[in-house]
Amino acid sequence: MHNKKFVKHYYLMMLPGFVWLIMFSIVPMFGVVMAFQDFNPVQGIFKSKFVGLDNFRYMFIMSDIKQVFINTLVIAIGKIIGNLVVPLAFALLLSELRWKRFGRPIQTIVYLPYFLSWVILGSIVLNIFAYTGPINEFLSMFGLKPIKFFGRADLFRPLIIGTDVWKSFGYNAVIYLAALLGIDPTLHEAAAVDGAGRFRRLLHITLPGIKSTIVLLAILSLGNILNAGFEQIFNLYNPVVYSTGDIIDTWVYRAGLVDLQFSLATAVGLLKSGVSLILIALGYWLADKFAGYKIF
Amino acid sequence: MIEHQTLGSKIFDVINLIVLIVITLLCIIPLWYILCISLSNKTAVDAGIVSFWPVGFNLFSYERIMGEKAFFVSFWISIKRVVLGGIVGVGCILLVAYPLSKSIRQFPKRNLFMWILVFCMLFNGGTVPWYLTMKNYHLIDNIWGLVLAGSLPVFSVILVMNFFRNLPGALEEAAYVDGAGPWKTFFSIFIPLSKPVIATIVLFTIVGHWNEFFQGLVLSTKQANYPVQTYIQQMVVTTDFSTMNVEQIQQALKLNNKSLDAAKVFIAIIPILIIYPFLQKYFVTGITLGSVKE
Amino acid sequence: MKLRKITATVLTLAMIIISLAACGKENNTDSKNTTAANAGTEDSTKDDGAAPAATDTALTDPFGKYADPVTIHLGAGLNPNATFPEGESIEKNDYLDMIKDTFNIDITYDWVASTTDLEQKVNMCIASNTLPDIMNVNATQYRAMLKYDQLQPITKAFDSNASDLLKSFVSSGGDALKDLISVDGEMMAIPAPELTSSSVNTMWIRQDWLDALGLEVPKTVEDLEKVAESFVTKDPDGNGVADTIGIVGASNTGFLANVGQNQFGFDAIFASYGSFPRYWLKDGSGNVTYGSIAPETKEALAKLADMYKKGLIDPELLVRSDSSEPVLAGKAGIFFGPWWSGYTVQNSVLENPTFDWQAYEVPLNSEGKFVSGMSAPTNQYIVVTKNCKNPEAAAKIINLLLRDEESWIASGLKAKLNPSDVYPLFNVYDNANEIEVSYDYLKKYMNGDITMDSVDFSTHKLLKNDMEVIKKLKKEPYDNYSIKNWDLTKEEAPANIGRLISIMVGARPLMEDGYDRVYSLYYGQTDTMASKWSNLEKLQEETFAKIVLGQASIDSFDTFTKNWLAQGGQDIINEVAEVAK
Repeated sequence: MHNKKFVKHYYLMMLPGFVWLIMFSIVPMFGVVMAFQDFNPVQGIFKSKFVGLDNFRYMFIMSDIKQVFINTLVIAIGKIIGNLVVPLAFALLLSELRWKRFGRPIQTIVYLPYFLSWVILGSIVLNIFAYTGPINEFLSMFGLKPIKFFGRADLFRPLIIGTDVWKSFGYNAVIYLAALLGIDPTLHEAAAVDGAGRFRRLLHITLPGIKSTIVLLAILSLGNILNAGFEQIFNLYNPVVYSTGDIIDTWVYRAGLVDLQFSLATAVGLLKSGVSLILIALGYWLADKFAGYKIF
Repeated sequence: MIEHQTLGSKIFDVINLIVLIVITLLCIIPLWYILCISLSNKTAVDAGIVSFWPVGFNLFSYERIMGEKAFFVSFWISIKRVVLGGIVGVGCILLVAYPLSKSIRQFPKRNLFMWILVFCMLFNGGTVPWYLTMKNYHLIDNIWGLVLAGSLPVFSVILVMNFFRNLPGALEEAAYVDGAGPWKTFFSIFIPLSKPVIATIVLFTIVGHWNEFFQGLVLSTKQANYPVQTYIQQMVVTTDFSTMNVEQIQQALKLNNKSLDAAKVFIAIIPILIIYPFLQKYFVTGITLGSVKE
Repeated sequence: MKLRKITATVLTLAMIIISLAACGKENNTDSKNTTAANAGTEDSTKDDGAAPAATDTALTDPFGKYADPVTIHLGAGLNPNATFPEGESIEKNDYLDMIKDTFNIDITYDWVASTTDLEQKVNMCIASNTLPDIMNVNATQYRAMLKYDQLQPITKAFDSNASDLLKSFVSSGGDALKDLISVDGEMMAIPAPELTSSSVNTMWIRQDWLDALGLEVPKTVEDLEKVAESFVTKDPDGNGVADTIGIVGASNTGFLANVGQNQFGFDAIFASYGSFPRYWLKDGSGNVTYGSIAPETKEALAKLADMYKKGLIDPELLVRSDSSEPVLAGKAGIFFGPWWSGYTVQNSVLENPTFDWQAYEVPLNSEGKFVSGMSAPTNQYIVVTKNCKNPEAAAKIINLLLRDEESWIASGLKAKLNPSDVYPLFNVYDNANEIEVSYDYLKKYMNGDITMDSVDFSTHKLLKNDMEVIKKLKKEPYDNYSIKNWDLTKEEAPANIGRLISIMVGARPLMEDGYDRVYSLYYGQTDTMASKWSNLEKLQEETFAKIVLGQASIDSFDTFTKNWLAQGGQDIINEVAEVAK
């Protein structure tokens, strides 16, 4: 009814945010040109030689690139799933906690590992999983042989995914916890009166109540499909686990040690962004078509 | 909510509590470990024999930090960054999210803007062009560089927008009938009803600014301008001896102090420990909100 | 309510705009200063006619002073733990004052990064072409800057301004060094020569453990195995728990074998098989080949894999984040490292004076000789960028360091503020044989063959202090450098014991027993390397690691060789053969 008049106010509201976005996100985006150049800093973006898709081609002629992509995808997908499911499960358990006064301290403590960078956490993790470390000591109590956790290619991916989820589930749970509070408590009360058990209320009230949040987070996290987490892997990997742990970002990093590969790094960044955009758009479309959600 | 407790339900409660406590203990490990390191003798730490109990307990590291002005300077920079970044960030997020929460009918161009946001969330031009841009804006060695460098947090915008969309349309209609414009509706209806989500994005914004260290490195030309995480990062990164000369190796081995580093890491977490329970309060007050759902 | 909030938002925005404008201004003044400084420089050139004498000496005399102040922009890497005396900083200290007094050069730091972040910061400078006047860069960065044409030749500036001492250090590197720093006959960088002794990774062993178990110092690989086995199984530390490690190896960021210094690497074991991974060598028939794919390397890997399997090598080989931990904890009996490993063990030795680390040239090859691969002649390059107007300043700044470093030790300035932390463009400019010479003098001095008066300290900056301190710390017998024969309780001990152990223990075998040197035919980078090398390196590291850790059979070495050659290795061999003719 007042819509037309309102629109100009809408623009006004978005003005500061979009000015910010243009200045600090869109302006620096001119850099993507580097992906198609043999970038020379002296000549800069405008005068460097264009080489078309050579930087992308360079990547795909490498013999190990297939393995590197598989590693990246497997680790990233594992993390996406883990970082969706574990925080959700934790949030649900926490919301079902009967003794509420424990809730806040638990919540505060579990979100602390998120604040340690992988440089610090990396050496802690290596110590915990060391050959003579606490985990192996624990295993030896059951008569099990010590395991060389980070020296085994077959264990590397689960360890990476597991420790990443461990680091961040408390933090990621915050969104779910906020969403759970949005559910009308009277719905629960009514259901309880009708004799619905806790599990049935979880299925029929709680989960539907935060379904939109779950779908939103799931689709947005598709954007990380090629981000397996450079910081973490760089601090934990070693040549023995290259076959399962070498990811695109570590691969680019090592290429940069031999020859500062500015253009290659940009090309890889662009490729990752492109794939992310396609997947998010696909997720958006699927959610709209099959569930009737417009996530944004 | 008083209800009859079945036996199964009671067993579940107990198991639930145990599971949560175990999870909590697992999460306290790294911090406890860091605390032990910071309270241990330097030689023991270098030898890697400290695990879950301090070896050669002492408070030297903390005493030394007290005398290390540079650490507190970086701490103060981070606090300024978080406060300014929080105000600018949350303000812009809310203001952008509100119009975008409208339907296409109410705001015809919304989809265009939405996809611009998503695009900006995913694409960037790389570090070098970003650095050159910041340099052109004269935001090197400038607190505003640290505040603005990350651009609009699009993820938070989407989160808030979804929350706004789920608020009952009836309230908004009622406000319009009363003659309220979009600004009044935004401030007097949407904002008060959105405390949980605002608390969430305040937390995300604060944490984002507090944890970030790479921008601090690129946007500062000297240590005096480092935010605290950049300051800590430069201490804890493993020194690569292969590129150092003998004198530098000697200095690094002599000055390196993992116990002191751990103390700094620990102190840098304290503000986060303080601020979180404070925000948690708003997660609880949000509970009344659900009562007016469609 | 509403109004207040709007006002708040508006205020925030206003603050942003104001501060943006304000910082814009700040920076404008900055750039004005720079312009003024540059103008000053230009003036000094113009003044040539007016005061020719003053300017002439500045441009020709290594210690000549500029008539007008010259500003040199630098970037710096600063040890993040460095402390400064009150009132001093990296931007304002005695060394900078001396440079100003001597040369009339004002040093301005465009940025100061931590030594841990330095590489990243320099890369950013190169990528954004925002370069200081003079830089201290590594080999990769040097090559990139050459490729991007960011450097100016310094042949003339160096010839006329480098002191004789600096020139002699540079020429001590020979043609191999000259090749690395020259392009088309023009000198492009001032190198910091590598110490010869740093390339040699000897075996460091716990003598007290050997004694406790009644064992001899091993000689061959077989001996080494036996000793390591005893160290693992016979409880050398006598604590009743089987918690000792035989041989500690590389960490997860280290290398099993590398060119030059490689603490915790197994280079010595490889070399005893005649294997030199990562070196360009001539094979039996005179053709260029790569050490990593040579058959000898396969033998060495098979032996290492066997030792690892038997538990003689640290089970956490290549997984540890810090290999020095078990060494410092007194849980390891053997590691390999260069002479300066004395610095590594110093703190743990001070705390536990029973830890008697001794270095030996072990293992010997089948002919009974110890062989070591030698590093590139330099790994650090001081380069002058194109925007620098006073290229001769680079040599001048280093001249002063070379001439006066010894007097800074004498005056106590070095103890107060270490030049390696704050001196602009600092590198170690020593004679390549500095450590050997120091060992020689100290040994003779302790034996009473020479006195301090008979030593010329002018080319040996640190020796004087070494001689004074060793007299205080060393107990009789003077020819036995067991840890028992040092007085670790003296106040000089903490600051000096690391260096003295490094020289008297670490460099001893090099001097007493001698060793054969193997040089790489080529230390540079060929065209194909730029694109293929990281891939080939990965192939090598992964194969070697898997073989040693028993996750791949030794036969996978043959597959590796084939793949290595096929994936660009052969092309690179041909290129190297061409260059290294």
